Amino acid sequence: MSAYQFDDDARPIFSRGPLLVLKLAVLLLCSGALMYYDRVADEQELAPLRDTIAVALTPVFWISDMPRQFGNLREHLHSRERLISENDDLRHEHLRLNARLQKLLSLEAENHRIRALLDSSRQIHEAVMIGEIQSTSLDPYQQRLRINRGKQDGVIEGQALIDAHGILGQVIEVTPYASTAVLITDQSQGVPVQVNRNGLRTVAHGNGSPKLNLPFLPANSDIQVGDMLVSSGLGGRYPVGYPVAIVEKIEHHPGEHFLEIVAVPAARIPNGREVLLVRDDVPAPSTAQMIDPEAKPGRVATAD
Amino acid sequence: MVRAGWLGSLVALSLALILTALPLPDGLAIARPAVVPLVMVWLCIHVPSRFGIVWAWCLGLVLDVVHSTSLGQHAVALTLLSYVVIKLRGSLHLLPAWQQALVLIPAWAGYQGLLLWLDGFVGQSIDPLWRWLPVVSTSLCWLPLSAIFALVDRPQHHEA
Repeated sequence: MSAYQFDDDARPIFSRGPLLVLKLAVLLLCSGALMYYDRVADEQELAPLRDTIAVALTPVFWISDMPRQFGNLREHLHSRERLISENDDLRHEHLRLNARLQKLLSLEAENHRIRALLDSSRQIHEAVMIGEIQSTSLDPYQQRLRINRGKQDGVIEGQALIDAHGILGQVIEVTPYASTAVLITDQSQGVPVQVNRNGLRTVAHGNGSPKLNLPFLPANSDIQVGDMLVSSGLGGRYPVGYPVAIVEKIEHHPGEHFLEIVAVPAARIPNGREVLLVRDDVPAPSTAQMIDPEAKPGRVATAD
Repeated sequence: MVRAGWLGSLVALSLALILTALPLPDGLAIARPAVVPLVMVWLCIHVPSRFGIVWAWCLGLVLDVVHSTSLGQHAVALTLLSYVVIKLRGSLHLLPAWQQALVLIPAWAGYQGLLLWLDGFVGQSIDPLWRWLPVVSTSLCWLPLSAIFALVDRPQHHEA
């Protein structure tokens, strides 16, 4: 056995050793170059490679999603009473929403007339697509979702993701049959928002927790606990007017210039399986972004 | 796997990938063992003729896609891990599984540390202590994994 060991130890030194180090160096260089192109230089050239691997991995994702599918199946076969009561609730909700919708339609028509009178070029045409969440992030430190819609369905990078209650996040990576979205609560994210009550503009930053921060409001800003924050559309990523968060806590430390504001996302982030992918068919006016200097401090609504 | 050859290695790696992509509740996900590196290290030790550093690199790219990290991040970590293991293979191969588990603890820690460092390097945040939990879970998984592979591999043991 020991003779074997010497033999085995000797082999790498004389025959495989230098080759192995060479291979290592080449592979590390390749990896470095890949990382540089993929992230630092922000190039799209690697998309085909990523797409190919992702397509090859489709069965893996499909199988790893099976436990959840089985869970759903069990739920499908679950209590009839619950379904009936849920159906009742939904019917009531539908009725209520329909009533509100009628009012909304007249308001929308009025809005269009007024916009036409003002000769405003901005039209609100948003294409909506329903997607299903395949899995939430594998890395617990990154707030991401995988959605079962991809390039084939017309998903594009940067598309906004909403649920029934508000903005969830945006698509950061699209493969042919699936896409990855980052939530607004991720540390890399900032959503341009305005206070619904008075139009005060600011940016809501994610911090990795389930809450959002509003770091740049001066101490004398007109903002209150309970204020609804809606997307302002500045930055051109998120469509205008969707609920983003509700102000939960406002603190002012004496001597600090800015308020410390915490807001709770309006979207019900951990719940639900369906999401809506929204796209402004008419691109948001990019001039708005340039006119307003406070709209984009640093890293607004970009995934990188 | 020594006996089952390519097919066995491929099946083991696919299973490892599925386990990696399996959604877990947040509390458990923090401690998810690095299954793919585990299987890869086992293959590096037991089937070095078929499984080398280039394969480790390709596997790293696949992991990068699974984790949506920037391409190359896991590739670097897996390549270095496989290099170290191949270098130590001569001694590792002769140790019983529990001693291998002990010897490999620094390897997992190095792997995790490298990933953390690269995370910080490409702009993700670095979180404290909790991110080292996978080192513990991965180390604990080495023994059961070796036992399972030994069982699957039992019928023929005369290969080098």
